[in-house]
Amino acid sequence: MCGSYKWFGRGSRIIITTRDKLILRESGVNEEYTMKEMDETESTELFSWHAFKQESPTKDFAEISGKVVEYCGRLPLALEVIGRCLFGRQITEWKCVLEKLKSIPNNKVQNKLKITYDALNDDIVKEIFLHLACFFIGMDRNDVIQILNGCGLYAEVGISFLVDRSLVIVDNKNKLGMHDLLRDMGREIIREKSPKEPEQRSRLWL
Amino acid sequence: MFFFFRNENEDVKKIVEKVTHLLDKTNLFVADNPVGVNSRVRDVVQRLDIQTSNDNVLILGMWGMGGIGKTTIAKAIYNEIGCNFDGRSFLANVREVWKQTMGQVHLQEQILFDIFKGMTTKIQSIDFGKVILRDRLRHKKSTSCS
Repeated sequence: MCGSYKWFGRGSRIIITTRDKLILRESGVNEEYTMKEMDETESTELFSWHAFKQESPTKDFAEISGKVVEYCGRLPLALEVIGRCLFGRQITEWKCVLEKLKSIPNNKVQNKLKITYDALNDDIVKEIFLHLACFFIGMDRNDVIQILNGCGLYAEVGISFLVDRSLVIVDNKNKLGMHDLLRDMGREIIREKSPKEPEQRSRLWL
Repeated sequence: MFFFFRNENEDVKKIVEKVTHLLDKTNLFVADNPVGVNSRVRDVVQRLDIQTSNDNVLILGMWGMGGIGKTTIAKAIYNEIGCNFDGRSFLANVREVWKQTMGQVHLQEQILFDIFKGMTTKIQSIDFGKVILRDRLRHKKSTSCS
């Protein structure tokens, strides 16, 4: 895109973020920084902000919180969406989520994230989430609301609900966004219903 | 008289540039409850070697799995150190935008728009864009995150 880093003015700094180490080698970086994983204290704090709206778990939930944090693989994205998903729920529901988390290996992050989709409890909100994941990332929130309302979905409420659950982001320009992993999780839900015959899928996207 | 006007002209230009720069305080949203952000930002900023008079262009790569917080840290770095530079630009989702029609051109336009503060440049093709970037960027000390 920029031909050569030499084109930048003297003293310039360029930062690239990637999941793929090969990209770093190809771009001739001078410095490499491997993201430090969250430690136990950090993970518990982040999780608590989302699950309890305070910096540490409430007493009754302290033990189970520790387990949930561990099974989230201390991954900030998982801690956030699973924390939000558990906010205000009864201990029995927590146990149910923990059991699901335990059964999924730590390297299957997408499956862990899917627990939050399954816990949405409302088919209309689920529909809206899938529509957003496939078609509307990067679009203006008001435009999307109008389109979805035209399909009989109560998009205003639905989108706020998804934002509360950290599954969707609205930026300062009113554009809708979603983390790549959550978007891929949504698209996978559609793909897996008919892996071999795309024409059978509920949505097709480019 | 002529010289007087010319000087005034240049002064006005300088003042406008300075004010525009000062007004560029539009920081990126990082997180409602940032946890562990500051320590990681410090680690990276240290490696960027900004305080010393290192005049080379330095590229730093942040690597990690999806959802670990790379973009969050990059945004925080952008906010933290941006004011040390003549211009700054944050390009989001490069991998995806790159693949879109005209995606690469859009990215070039955005770099120019950000670093030259709101001056829109229409770029017709990727190669044309490269020429413009080469000519303009070399005069600016800038920081860009992507």
